[in-house]
Amino acid sequence: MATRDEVVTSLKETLVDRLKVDAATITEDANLFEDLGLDSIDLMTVVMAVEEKFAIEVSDEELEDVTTLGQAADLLSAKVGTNA
Amino acid sequence: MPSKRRIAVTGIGPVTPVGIGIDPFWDSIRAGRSGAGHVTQFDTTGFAVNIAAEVKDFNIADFIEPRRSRRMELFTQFAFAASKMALEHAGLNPSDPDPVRVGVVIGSGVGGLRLIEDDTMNLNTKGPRSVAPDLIARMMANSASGAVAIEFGFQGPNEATVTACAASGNAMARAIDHIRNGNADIVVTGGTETPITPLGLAAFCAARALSKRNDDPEHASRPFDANRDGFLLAEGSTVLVFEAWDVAEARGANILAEVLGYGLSADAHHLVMPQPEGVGAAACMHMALADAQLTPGDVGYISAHGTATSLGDAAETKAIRKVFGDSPPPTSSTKSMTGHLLGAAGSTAAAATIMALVDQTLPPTTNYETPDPACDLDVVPNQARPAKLEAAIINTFGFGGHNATIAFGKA
Repeated sequence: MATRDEVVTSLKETLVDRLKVDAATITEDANLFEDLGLDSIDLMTVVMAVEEKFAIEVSDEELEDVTTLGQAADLLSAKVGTNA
Repeated sequence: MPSKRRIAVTGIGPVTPVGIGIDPFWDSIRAGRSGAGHVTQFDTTGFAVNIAAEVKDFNIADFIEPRRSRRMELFTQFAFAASKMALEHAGLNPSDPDPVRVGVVIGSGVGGLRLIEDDTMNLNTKGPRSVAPDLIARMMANSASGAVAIEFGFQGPNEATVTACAASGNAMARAIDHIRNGNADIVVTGGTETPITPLGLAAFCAARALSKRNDDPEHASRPFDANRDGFLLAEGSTVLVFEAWDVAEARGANILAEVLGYGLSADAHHLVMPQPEGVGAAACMHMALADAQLTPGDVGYISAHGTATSLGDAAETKAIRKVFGDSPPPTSSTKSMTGHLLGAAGSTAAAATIMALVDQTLPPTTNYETPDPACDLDVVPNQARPAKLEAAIINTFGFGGHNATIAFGKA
C-alpha cells in the first residue's frame, strides 16, 4: 500500500514534468490555482496521473473542495488500497 | 468602386525544414539546399516511405517559458515561434498596437494528429478515463491561432482556415479581407502543420501520394521533372505580418512587399485528384490577377504549388498556360527543397516569394534533370536567378479541390 509520501511525490512529478510548474514553488500549502497557476484541466491532468499510478478513482464531487496540494494528497492517499 | 485599402508585408517568421528564422530560410532557398532526410521522430519499420523533411533543432523553450507552452502541441509551438519571429522581423512590439485592431488567421490541414493517435491508443488500451483532459484544447486545428492571440493579447478577428494544403492560402485571403474591410489594421497570418506521425505517414503512403526515393531523400522532391514520383512530406509553420499600408508607414516600418490581392476557387471535381485541365486553378489565378489589377504580363514569377505529383504538376502547367498563354513567367517550386508543408505550404511559398521581390532573385526548382513535355515551363532549374521583379503570385491547392492564389508586389 502506497504511503501519502508516494502520492505527494507523484503529484509533484506531474506538476513539474507535465505542467512545467517551477519545482521551487511547490509546497503542500500552496494553493493549486492561485499560487501554482493551475486551471481545472490542469488539476484533472494531475489527478489522472495519480489515479493511473495507484489504480484508484476519484469523483468530480470529491475534487470540488480541493485547493491545495496537501488536500489533494489527503484525498488520493485515503483512496489507495480501498477502491482499487 | 472605392479603392481598396493597401496592405504591406512587414514581417516573416519561418519554422521550416530548411531553416528557422528568415535569414537561414532564405539562405537555404537561394542556395538550393534540401531539408529532406530520414524520419527521426518514430520508428518507420514497415512503412513504404521513411523519408520526410523535418524541422531541425527546434526547441520551444527558445521562444516561450515552458509553463506557457504546456498546452501547445507541436503544430501550435511551430505557429507560436513563427509568429514571434514574424513580429520581431516586423519590428512590432506586440503590446504597442491597440489589441482589438490585431487579428490572427492561421490555418492547418489537421491540427494535433499525434495527440489524437496517442490518446486513441490510451482509449483502446486503458479505457475512457485515460484520455487527457486537455486533448480537445490541444488537438483542435484552431488551437494555434487561439494560442497566438492568448500569448500576445491580440483581440481582433481570430480564425483558423482548414482547407488542407490550401489552408494558409485561405488564411492569407481572410487576412486581406479583414484589413480591407476595416476589421483589423494588422493580421498575423499563415499556416502550420505536423503530419510526420505514424498515422500521418501511413495514410499518405496508403494514398500512394509520396515519393519512394528512400535511398536518396535530398533528391526525392522533383517538381516538374519527368521522373517525379510524388511529394515529400514536411512539417513546419510560416507566419507573416500583414499590415495596413498607412499603419505600417505611420510607424516607420520596413515594408518588405505589398499584398496585391487574392483568388480563391474550387475544382469541384474530386476530393484528391486535380481537375486534369487545370480549370479551377486557372480560374483562381484569373481572380487573383483581377483583384490585384495585374495583367498576365505584369507577373514576373510564379511560385507554383508544384508538389511533384504526376497529375498535379501537369494540371498546374495547363492552368498556367491558360492564364499566361505562350510565354508564362518563370515558375518554380520551393517544395523541391522544403518538401510539402501541407497547411503551411502556401505561407512558406509566400515567404520565399516576398524575399524574391526584396532580393530580386528567383528561387530555383532543384532536382530538375529531365524535362517533361507535360510541364513545359521555365522552372528556374537548379540555380537561383537574378531577375527584375515587380509582381509575383503564389499558388496553393488542397485536397478537397480548394485553390488559393495570392499576388504580391515589390515594395
